Amino acid sequence: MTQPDTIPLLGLGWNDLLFLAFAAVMVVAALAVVLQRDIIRAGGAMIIAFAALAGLYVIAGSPVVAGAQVLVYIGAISVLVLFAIMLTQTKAAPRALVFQTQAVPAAIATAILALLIVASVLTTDWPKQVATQVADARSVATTLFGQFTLPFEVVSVLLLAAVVGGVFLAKRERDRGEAD
Amino acid sequence: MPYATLIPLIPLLPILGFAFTALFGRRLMLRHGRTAAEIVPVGIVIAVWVIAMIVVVPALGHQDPFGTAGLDVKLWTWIPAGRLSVDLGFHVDALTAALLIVVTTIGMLVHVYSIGYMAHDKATWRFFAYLNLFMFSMLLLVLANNWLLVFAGWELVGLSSYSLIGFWYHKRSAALAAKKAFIVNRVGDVGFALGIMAIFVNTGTLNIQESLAKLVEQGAHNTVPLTIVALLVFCGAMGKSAQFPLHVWLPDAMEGPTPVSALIHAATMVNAGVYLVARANPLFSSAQDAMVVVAGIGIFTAILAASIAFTQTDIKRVLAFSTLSQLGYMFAALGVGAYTAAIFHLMSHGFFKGLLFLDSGSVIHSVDGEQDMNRMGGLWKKIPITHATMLIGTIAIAGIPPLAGFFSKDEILGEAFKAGFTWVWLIGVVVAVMTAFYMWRLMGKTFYGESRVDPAVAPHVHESAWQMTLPLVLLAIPSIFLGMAVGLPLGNGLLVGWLKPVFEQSEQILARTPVDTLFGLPVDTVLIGISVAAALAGLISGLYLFGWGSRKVKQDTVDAIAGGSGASRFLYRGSLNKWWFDEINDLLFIRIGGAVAAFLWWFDRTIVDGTVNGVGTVVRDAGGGLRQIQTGRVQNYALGIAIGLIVMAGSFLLIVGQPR
Amino acid sequence: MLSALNLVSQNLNAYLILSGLLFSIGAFGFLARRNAISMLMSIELMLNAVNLAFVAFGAFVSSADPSHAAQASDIALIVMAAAAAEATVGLAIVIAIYRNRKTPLVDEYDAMKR
Repeated sequence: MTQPDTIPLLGLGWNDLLFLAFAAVMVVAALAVVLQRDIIRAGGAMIIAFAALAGLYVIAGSPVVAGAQVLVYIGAISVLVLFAIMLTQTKAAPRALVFQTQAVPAAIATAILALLIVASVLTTDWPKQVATQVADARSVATTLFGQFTLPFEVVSVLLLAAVVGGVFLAKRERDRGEAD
Repeated sequence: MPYATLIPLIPLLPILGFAFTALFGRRLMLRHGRTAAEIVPVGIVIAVWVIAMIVVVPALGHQDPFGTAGLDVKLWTWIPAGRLSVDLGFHVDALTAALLIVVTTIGMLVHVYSIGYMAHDKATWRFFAYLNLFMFSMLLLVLANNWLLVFAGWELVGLSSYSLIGFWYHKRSAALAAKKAFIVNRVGDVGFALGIMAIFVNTGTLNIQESLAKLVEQGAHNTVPLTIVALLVFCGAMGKSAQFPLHVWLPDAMEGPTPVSALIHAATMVNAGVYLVARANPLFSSAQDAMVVVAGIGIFTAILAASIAFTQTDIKRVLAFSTLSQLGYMFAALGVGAYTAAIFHLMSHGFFKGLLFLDSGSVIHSVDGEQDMNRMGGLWKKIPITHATMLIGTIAIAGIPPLAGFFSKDEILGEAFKAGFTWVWLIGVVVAVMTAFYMWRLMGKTFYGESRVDPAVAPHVHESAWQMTLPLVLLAIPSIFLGMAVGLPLGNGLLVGWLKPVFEQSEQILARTPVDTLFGLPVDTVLIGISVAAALAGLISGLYLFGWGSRKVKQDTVDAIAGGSGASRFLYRGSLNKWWFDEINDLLFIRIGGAVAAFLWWFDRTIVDGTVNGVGTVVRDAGGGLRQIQTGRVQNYALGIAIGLIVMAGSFLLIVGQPR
Repeated sequence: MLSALNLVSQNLNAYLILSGLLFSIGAFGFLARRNAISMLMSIELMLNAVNLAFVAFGAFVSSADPSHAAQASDIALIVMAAAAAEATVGLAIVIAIYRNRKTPLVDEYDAMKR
């Protein structure tokens, strides 16, 4: 990506500004996913988080991944999750009990986890790239169907198994339900 | 090769018959009557007899493919486990063939006889199923080519014997007798099992022929001394063949139906021990100390059982003790190294004792289930066929020439004397006198003199159906002629030729120099003279006391002996009470053993269990505390994982991570 | 004013810290939420965090291989496929259990305890 001019007043490049914006949206949306009491709103927040993440992928120079993110996560998985929410939503569920009793220790533990990750990131001496390398569609396709043929095929089998498994799990239970 | 196909069929058919009868017998009997249920098991046994005869003839004649070493038929490898490899296979040589004759012939006749004898029983199908199971087990035992398979057959005959003794399980005494037989047999079987293990330790193989050859070859270099191996194997033989002190189960086993007594407890299963020792003859010949033990126990059982048979009043019990006594003879023969004589006596005894038992069954049947000889008498005119055949059996067992018993018994006594076991011979002659006497006592009390039959039953006394009398006649034939057929000329008859290859090695090891003359006469002549005289002496004193025809029992003389004072009274009471063996066992194992067991139980409960329970309580309470952690909720476990991960990664960073 | 954050979009550490934050948030959701679907959503967040780290490594770590960034994208794509499979089966299981137990709340799934 070419370096655009810095924005006046802020002293930041456009990319930097977009990065900060996307990052902020993503973190806030992610927090909403785990903290929101209403699970449908949590699902909506998840879509926002995924969209912001897609923007970050573009800034990081991976437009193909960004496209796939929009298609797979927003288009497929989010919709699947929303369907599941609607199928399992019980109106009577007490709203106060969204969190486990272990929520506080879990919060402390994950805070420490975050600190650990930050500390390890900052203490590691990464071999730095001078400029962003762009993974355009052609090179992604070349490597995916050349170097990564075997994982690609394995993933196709995995997806098939997941489809069969999903159908099996859902259908069997319905039969049993009817028998009851 | 037809023999390789025929031989496996011999045990296979009865087990199929057992399965069929056990599964469908009841239904067949209820829907289509008794005959429908009987036709398969009886037909199968007859077929087995035919096949066995086809196999036996060339096997005894050492023709191809049997030769002198016998034919090995390996079906498949049964247990392939590293160093231990056991085949499922059969071995047929002359010894096996001799046993096959006895087992299949008497088995077949007993099956036919049972059709008549069990004609009024509600569960005939079950009886025939068990009989077929027994035939399978016994044939497996005889045919097996390795010790493990022998042991399997050994245990299976024990099992089928248990089921058949306790066939009338609603009778408490029958159920108890079955249990007693099973448990006493187990005692011997432990020894046999240990013996098999010792053989494997010594030779590394369970194949009978290979292991025996190796045992003899290694001689004194065996890990387990040969004497111990031989005694362990003999332990098993003692249990199954009811030798002192494991003899107590056989008389009680008479609670079973009479055909069972004839088949299992007189003619076949109890011979398994004799067969086993004869099969392992090279082992025993190499362990002469063990052989003396065998001879001693055998001849002691012979005289002990004969003395008890003097006073018993139950017709089947007399025969049971007589069986014990004759088995004792066979073991005495094995012990002195007269293996051929032992097998000879096994065969002839199988036939005439089977005959006597079936006769007693016929008698019992005719007097409406009465077994007490004091309530018989004078039956000889009413049941002529039974009387005639039983008379033949009695003369045969008494050892009067030229019937079968004379040849085999005489050979045992002669061999014992010539091998230098004079004490065995002497006791043997005494037992011969006693045998002739108590057998005539049985005849006299049962058939002759005045009738003491229950007046209510007396008018109904009748000869049994043809299914019962036919086997009697058929068994009377070998009881008369077997001795002449295979025992002549004396000491060098057909049987000796047949069995020569089996016992050749032992004879070489023993290398006896026979005694030729005695008092200037040929030794055989003298010995035969003495045996015949002994048998006649017994018989004549029996005749004198218990009469014949319509002559009355000399009750005064009998009472005088029984009720007399001092020694004769003690002896009478001892004999009547079977020398108190049941009481001794009761004292030893039930009272004293029970007290020891009770103490052990107390010790176990308070000390051992106390310790164990204490440990358990501590662990359980600690676990109860820790159990709180196990909520069964995935997320609690996941938090545990997360914390563990944090601790690990954090300590890794602290220890390894270099701050910039 | 914000000049300290200049070129932040070209800084590997920024992406990785962001990824770490996202992962931790996901982990918290997984550990704390009672609803099975919330937990699955949290898992999706964590998977995305990993993807972000992959893409960032591909873009900003120097390598002799010119297709380095493309390979990172490939891995991210494969992770997405795996995530899709996981979501399918996971949600099917949730629905199946829901039919049996009539609740989406995981702390009531205590068969492991009984």
